[in-house]
Amino acid sequence: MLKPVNADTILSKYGKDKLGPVAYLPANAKTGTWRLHRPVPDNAKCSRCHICEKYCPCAVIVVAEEGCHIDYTYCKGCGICVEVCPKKIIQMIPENSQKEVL
Amino acid sequence: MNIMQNQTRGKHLFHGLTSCEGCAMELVARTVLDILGTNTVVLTPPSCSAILTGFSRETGWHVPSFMANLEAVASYASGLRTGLEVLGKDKVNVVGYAGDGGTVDIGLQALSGAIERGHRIIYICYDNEAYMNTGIQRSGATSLGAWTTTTPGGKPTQRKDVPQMLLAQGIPYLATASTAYIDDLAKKVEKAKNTDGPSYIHVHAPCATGWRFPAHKTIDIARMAVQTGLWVLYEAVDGRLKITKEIKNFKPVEDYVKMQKRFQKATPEMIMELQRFATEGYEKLAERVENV
Ligand SMILES: Cc1ncc(C[n+]2csc(CCOP(=O)(O)OP(=O)(O)O)c2C)c(N)n1
Ligand code: SF4
Ligand code: SF4
Ligand code: SF4
Ligand SMILES: [Mg+2]
Repeated sequence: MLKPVNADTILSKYGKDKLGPVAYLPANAKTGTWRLHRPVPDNAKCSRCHICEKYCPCAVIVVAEEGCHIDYTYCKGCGICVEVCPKKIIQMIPENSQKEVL
Repeated sequence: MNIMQNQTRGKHLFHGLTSCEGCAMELVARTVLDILGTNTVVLTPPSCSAILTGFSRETGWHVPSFMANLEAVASYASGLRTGLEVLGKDKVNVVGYAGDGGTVDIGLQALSGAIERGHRIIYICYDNEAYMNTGIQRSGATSLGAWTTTTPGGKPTQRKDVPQMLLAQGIPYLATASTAYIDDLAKKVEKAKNTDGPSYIHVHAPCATGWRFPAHKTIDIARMAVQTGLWVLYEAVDGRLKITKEIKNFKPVEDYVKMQKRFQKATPEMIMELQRFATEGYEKLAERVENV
């Protein structure tokens, strides 16, 4: 994904005092921890139509050759992808049913 | 236009923004920046979009952004635009990204002034129909019958139609758009980008938190607003009006209303009035299209 801005470089370039009220750190809340349900696509049935990618408010979906890939570090679990998928192949699964999460 | 069908979708805003799950405001912002690209400066007022501009040393935009005040986003944008022109940087897109409260109420005179002066700015209003950031107070854009913390019995009056006000004033490019029709929104942003003068896009952006519905319904509700005729998608190039999403079989307003808890206090008369507003509103617009 995006390269975070290097705060040290910026601070040394402009000097801490001269920077003023400037934001130079990328917002990076781990919003995946908000999730109660996890969207899981069935990529065997995915038509690669990109609709989920287009409507995910957090832009955490990438549809590629392998199918629909979701970045669970940031996915907030809103379920919009489930609703907009024309093939209805994304399922919401309770987080605590996933062993790896525990 | 399938500009977004690649891995760069939404990349001009960072991940990990703390807007609510399913937030249409966030989706609209990402879409707008997908089209405008990095040669862009964004101004936001205090509102939910301030989440994108960030707090303290943090920012959500991967382009320069600036916090204006609620009254004057369009004035800040005018000044910034003029300054950039003086510096010879006239290719930079200057965008105001404000909520309905900051647009149709508090920032209206600044917006009207900027349009009158003819600055080349792109003003996008994401309309979640209330002052959400401060706790769901009614705005001039809140629907008739809708509950907010300041209209506990349902709002007694109809929303004001700011796109039509601005059209009456005269503006080179104006459009309405919806979170449910992302490709249509993208096309309109592209047109705004290529407009030599002020442009305005008013995007209907449902808010699960303030309208009281489950977040996964955000897109369905936005679509239903269009399919009932309550929110009409149109654009006007130099005042010439064109409906961009014609509706043949209207869904009843009742279907839209019952998807959201905010209409629970609305009386049957209010719902009837909303239905009339939808039907007549669409017809009136359609007539004007034929008359030009
Ligand atoms: C002049 C002024 N009045 C009130 C406020 C307090 N305030 C901050 S955010 C906000 C809500 C803005 O609502 P809207 O523009 O609809 O954006 P939303 O929060 O819904 O995204 C208000 C009233 C302010 N910052 N400035
Ligand atoms: S649940 Fe919401 S945030 Fe997560 S991938 Fe689906 S649309 Fe995106
Ligand atoms: S919307 Fe559904 S079918 Fe289309 S790419 Fe996404 S998961 Fe696959
Ligand atoms: S209150 Fe509404 S507009 Fe504001 S961040 Fe939450 S969902 Fe988005
Ligand atoms: Mg608002």
